[in-house]
Amino acid sequence: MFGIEKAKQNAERTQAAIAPAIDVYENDTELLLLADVPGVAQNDATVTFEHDRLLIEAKAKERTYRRELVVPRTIDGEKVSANLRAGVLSVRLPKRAQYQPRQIPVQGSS
Amino acid sequence: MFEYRSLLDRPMVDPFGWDDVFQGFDRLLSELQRQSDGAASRSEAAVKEENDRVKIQVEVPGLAEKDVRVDFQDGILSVTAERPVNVPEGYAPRRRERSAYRVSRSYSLGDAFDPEKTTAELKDGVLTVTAFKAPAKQKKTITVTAA
Repeated sequence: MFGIEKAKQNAERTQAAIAPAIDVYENDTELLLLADVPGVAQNDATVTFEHDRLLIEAKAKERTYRRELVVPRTIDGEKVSANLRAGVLSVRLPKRAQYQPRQIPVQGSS
Repeated sequence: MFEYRSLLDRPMVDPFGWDDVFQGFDRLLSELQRQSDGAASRSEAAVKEENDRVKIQVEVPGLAEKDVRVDFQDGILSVTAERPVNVPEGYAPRRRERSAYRVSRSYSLGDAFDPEKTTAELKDGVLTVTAFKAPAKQKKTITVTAA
């Protein structure tokens, strides 16, 4: 077993997890997820992306946060990045180039 | 010559598979909706007493030192903090579970604690206030002497 399935199984073996509250924001180039995970240090958070699923896991001293999300296929999984600051985990999900707006220059024929 | 009278008259086609593409995003949102019943967005607090000190921990995710205020007056320790609702600049909100919150908690510690030695530390979105007990007031026995 690999990736998300394995991570899920490991998590189930430990303790009941709390689903952190998540905000989803969007602009032309990416989706931005923000999750509240107070008490979690940078080394204790993992974000796993596989196929179309994103698994967020974070361990605080006395609790575990976990949430799994389905990610639209417009997202480029190779470019997903995550950052943890002041107990807030932010995950950037860039859109594939073909789903980003591109302005086409209109040319005259003179 | 044939003319469409309005957009609605156009035949429904999906030449680029857009429906499929957006379905993914709808799925993300609907799944979040389904899961959110159990989602936690609250500020929890815990009080722990140790030998010579009491530790108060309050969750304040997303806040900086300047957003948190700790007062100790007349034996009452109070913690106040506020997180406003801020949409990151340049983004449109699609789903919001993280709420704005205001924390206002007071703890009656009495005069057994020394306000001067109280410390407050913010780390990983958790505020820890530690108040130290003042040196125990020594019991004094008065010897009774004969007059």
